[in-house]
Amino acid sequence: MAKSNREPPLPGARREVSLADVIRVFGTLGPKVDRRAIVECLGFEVEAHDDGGSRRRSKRRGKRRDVDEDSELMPEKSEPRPSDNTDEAPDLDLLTPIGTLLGRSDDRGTITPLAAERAEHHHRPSSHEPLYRPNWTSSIVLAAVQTAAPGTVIDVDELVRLAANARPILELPMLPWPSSYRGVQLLVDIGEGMEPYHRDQGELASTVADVVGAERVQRRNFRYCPTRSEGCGSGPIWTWQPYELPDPGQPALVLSDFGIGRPGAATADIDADEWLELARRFRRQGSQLVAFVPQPADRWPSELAAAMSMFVWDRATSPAAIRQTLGRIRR
Amino acid sequence: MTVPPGGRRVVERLAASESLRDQAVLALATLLAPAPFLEPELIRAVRLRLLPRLDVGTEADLWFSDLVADRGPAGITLHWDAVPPLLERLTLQLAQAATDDDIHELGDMLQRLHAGAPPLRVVQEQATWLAVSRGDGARAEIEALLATVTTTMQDDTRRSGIARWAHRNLRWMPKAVQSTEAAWELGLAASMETGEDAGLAGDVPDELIHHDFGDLLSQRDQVALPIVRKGDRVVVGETGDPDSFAVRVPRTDPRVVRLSWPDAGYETTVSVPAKQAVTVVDRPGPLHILGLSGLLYEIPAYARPHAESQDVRVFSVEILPAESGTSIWIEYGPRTQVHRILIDGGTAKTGQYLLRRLQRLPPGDRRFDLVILTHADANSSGGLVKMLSEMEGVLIDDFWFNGSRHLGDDGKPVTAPKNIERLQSLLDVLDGQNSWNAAFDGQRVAIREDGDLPTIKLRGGMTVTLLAPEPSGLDELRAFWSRKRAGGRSKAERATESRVPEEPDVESAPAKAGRKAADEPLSLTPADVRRLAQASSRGATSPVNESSIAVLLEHEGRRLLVAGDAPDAVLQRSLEQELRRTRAKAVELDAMVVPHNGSRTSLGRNLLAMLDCPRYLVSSIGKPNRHPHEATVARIVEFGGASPAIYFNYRSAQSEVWTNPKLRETFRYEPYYSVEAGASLAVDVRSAPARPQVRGSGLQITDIQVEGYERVVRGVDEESGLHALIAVHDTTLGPAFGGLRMWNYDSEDAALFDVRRLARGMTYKSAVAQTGLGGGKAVIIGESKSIKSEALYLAMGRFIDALGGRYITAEDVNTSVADLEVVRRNTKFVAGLSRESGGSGNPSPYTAYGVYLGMRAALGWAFDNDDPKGKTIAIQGVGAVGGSLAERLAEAGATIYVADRNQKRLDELTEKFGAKQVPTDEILTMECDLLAPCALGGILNDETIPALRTKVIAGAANNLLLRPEHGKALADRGVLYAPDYVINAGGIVNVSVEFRDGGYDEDTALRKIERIPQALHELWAISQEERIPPSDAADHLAKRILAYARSGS
Repeated sequence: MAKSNREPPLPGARREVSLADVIRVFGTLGPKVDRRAIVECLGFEVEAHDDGGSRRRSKRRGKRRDVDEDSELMPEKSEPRPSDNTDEAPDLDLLTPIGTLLGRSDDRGTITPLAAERAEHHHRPSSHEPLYRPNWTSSIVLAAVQTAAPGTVIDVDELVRLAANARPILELPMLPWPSSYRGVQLLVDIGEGMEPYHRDQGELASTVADVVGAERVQRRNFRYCPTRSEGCGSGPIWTWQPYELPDPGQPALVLSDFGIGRPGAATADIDADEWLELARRFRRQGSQLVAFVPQPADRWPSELAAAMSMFVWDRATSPAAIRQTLGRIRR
Repeated sequence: MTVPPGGRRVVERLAASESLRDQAVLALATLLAPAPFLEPELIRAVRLRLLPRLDVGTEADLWFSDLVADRGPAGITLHWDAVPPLLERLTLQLAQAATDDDIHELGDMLQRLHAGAPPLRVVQEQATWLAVSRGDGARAEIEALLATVTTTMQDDTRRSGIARWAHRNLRWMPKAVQSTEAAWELGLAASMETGEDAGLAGDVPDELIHHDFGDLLSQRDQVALPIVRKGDRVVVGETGDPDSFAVRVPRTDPRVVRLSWPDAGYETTVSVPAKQAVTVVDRPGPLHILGLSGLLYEIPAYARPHAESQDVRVFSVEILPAESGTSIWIEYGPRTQVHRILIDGGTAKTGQYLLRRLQRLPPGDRRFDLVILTHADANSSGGLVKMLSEMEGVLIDDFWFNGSRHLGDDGKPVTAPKNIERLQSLLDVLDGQNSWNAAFDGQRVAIREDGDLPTIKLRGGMTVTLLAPEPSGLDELRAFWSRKRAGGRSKAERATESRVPEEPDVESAPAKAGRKAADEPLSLTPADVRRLAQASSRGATSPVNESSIAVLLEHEGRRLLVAGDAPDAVLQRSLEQELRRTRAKAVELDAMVVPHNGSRTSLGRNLLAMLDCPRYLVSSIGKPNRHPHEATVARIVEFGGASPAIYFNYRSAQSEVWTNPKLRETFRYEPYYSVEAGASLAVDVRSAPARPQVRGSGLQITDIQVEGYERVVRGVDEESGLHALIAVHDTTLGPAFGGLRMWNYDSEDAALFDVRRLARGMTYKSAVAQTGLGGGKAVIIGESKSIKSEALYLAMGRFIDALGGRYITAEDVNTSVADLEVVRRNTKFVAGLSRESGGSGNPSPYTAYGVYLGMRAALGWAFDNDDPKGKTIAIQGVGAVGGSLAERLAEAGATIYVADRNQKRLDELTEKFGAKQVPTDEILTMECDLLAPCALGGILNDETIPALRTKVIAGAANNLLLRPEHGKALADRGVLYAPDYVINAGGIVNVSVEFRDGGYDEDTALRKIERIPQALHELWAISQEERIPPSDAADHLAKRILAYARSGS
């Protein structure tokens, strides 16, 4: 325990200097004074603090003393530094605690702390529900990329028609058969508007590779439109090249929202004419242009919807609907 | 931290939009709001599983909507301030959804998808989900979840990260999360780390203060929080007041302290934002302040310099805990400027209590008008030596003590015992200031054997009459000390002392028989007590006791006798002299401190016969001297007046025996004890004696001082088991009227809280209803099924009657008209009895009539047409009042929806009036023009108010608002509210007519009830003018009426 340097107070003697007085003096004189000397002059004993003497503290007996350092009530760290309030009002009459109430510790000791945050905590959720029904996705992709290929069954009706018209039969007419043998050019919009669907694009691309065969899939990522000057490609953007149409007859599958989803994008960034021109070029060389659009049909620009085969990329779309639509177009 | 503005506004805009796209985005965002981070996978899962009608475009719509604060390839986060309104919507949806609705799977879905997400995010999400799905019902689980975070925060390396998380997120979480103790704990700890406010909504949980914050707070920065008792207020956090004290509290923002007033039995938790101040109403007595670090401080009662009226005067005596000694603290004079007398200081060991008592005084006011050390025993002087040597700043105007120099001079040197020598050296300083025996010119304090008793007048109007010692007593002491110095006592003295041993070894035969060990409680029968009382109290006393000072203190007609260890014989001689002077038959006292700690030889029958004293105060811990002696207490109970009250400052083997009901019943006395060991025992000398006021019965009535109430009294009747409280709040407008409630309260404090609250409510209710009555209430503490008896109600009748009509009772919870008929046998102050008994009969039809009129007024106010015809009205509870309302409203052409647990009653109403039945859990949220809650209180709360779909609430149930602030919540939602105690006042109005001249008259009652619409109109007008909720307007109106009446205008 620290002891006061002063004589025991006499009966009737009034308090002369309080801790608040000391704080007030310090506040007035500023930090560049010898505080130890002042404190000692005022009758306090100054002790080196346990933390190596870097801090000092003063004590005295009586009501205005600091909390007893021997007490568990006020561990060392609690030695107050000049606070918001004491800075503003240095003459505060600090009360001495009359006791302590130990709080409820509940069962804190039995609670397991949270695990530290690690990089794997930021991995995407493993579970993902695709936009198309999982058991329909392959069929939908197949329906979208199939083109007519010569089959192995004789087209009897055609054969009869040729014969009836006395036309020479140089080659047996065969029934056409839908096939993905031509492969597909996969045009993937990686623009900002498709951000919510990036995982869908990746998973669908895998499905396309599975269905068509990876070697027959020509993937081209693009932004806004593949014919833009920045070009397109399958690698980093700086490796992109100017867009080239697929081989005649080879279909292309576009995964894009055509700027519909991102407010403002349709007018600022997307030029429908670019897409219309591309669609014309596809028609000219006999390639079909199919698009999966993660937006409802009522939002599609009508001219685009007329120029290419667009399908809603969502649960309601079925393989049959695609087959029916594309089959009609082919005929 | 910057918070993107406008999130809430976006939600409001979306909600108000008629666009299906906007509605879809809002629907999706609502379900996703519990998650702090929304990955596309989560959005997809929620849309497909829970909102399958929404198309894929909704995902992008949400992604790019104004609700989103941040977006990136991995996911989006919503604006923080958009989250609360979304969560409110989700809460409502969950509440309204059928139990098998898929929406309830949302929590599982979140948990499954985010099983590997960052731990803090998972905690946040789960806590939020629990809050929105189960509200306060999930409090324990939320606490447990957040406790994992607080536990983690103990780790210094993770503290700042968690603090940032808590600071950013807690404030946006639902109230059911924010209101948990763990959330506050985290928030406050975070505020210390970040230097920003915790930002949590609502009040600090009361229990927070009892938390063990461990390393989170207590070892960190502390600040000095100023607190000042200022007038009738306590201001916390205000700097610059010269009267301000300060306590150290952790540097949280807000600072949190628990303020408690032990004397008033009231406490409250206060949170004070940094650099701001908070004001609360002050209450009588010392103020305790408990900070979060567990340190308890006290600001004493006197530190309320402006709180009390100048004309409030005191004369109190406190028996400080002094174990086997005595220390008596007396205060008298105006409460704003009390004077003090200290008589003896107890032992050196118990001097700490004296110092502590002194420390409760402000430094400039540690002054005694008089200190008396009655005699030189160590158990009286030790504490005074400690005080004088250790306590600084104590002013003593006069110190009476007969030291060595006052014992006379026979030429022989005198050496006092060491402790007295030490004391005398300290007193020399006082002597230098002419403050040692100043009233006696520095000479000995003693009576003159041949003259009048010395009478000294102290400042503040205290008269001190000296009763002892006689000069011979001082001479004896001088001789005794001289002989001790010379080497011992004479043979004759030793013989005397051995012949008359002190009490330690003396124990009565019955007492010995009654216990096996000395510290076992005594066991006495009435016969034992009679024998003990008759036994002789004679015995020699020591020379030190012969020198003891004894005084009779008189202040404004009240008298207190403090006799030190003075022998009976000396006291008798002085009191005889006093009786001769006053020509009285007995010396009338208001209280006395039993001499010599109640030793066997003190307070004999002859001395008792000279006194008329209702209260006897005993200071002793029991051991080692077995004080107070059973024979002495036996004499008090047998000869100490008609119904003496005995106050013991310790519960001990010696004092506990006097709680025996058989003894109390036989001798009709009342024992009192300090509330706990180490506590003072205080008695107000000015108050009416605490003996039974109803003679001839065991009923004891005592006053409880409660600020703001005209009178609060406790009635206890051992025989019948009655323990009741009556609160008279305000009788400005007439006698206090209020029901008699029977309830199994946890404690008397709980009952006191309730009776006060209810009494105040009755004042307002009566005022607004203009019944000409004041407000009061009575509660009987106990389980009604087990304690109800005729004897109990008869005792209650006596209790009520003792107030002389200041309080009038009626039926209430767990009491019936039949019960009141029994109460009525002992008091005429009972109302609401049957017509056959001359009362006003069943009040329910009158309540219903008043509510019906109030409903029409509300319809008129809200729809400009008060005709219920064509209106849709939902009634919750169709008992006596609700059923009657349904009948009236149906007849008036309203479409009635009813809900009640009583199916039979519902079927009746359906059959009679075509009332449509609604499940009880749907009635509050159904769409209607007017909702009439006529069943439970507290139904308008955080959960129900957002779900209401009515324009008007006007019902008969009491205390509809769970908390006062819910009045504002209703107003904010645009719901017109008819305050319960105004609209349902028909019953009380009807009863009040009983008190008119000429007795009850139904026409008069009906005319008065018909004023209810006018009262409602008035308060709705106040509500509009002052922009306050109608519930607050009702309180304002009541206060205005009371103020008007008080002004005498």
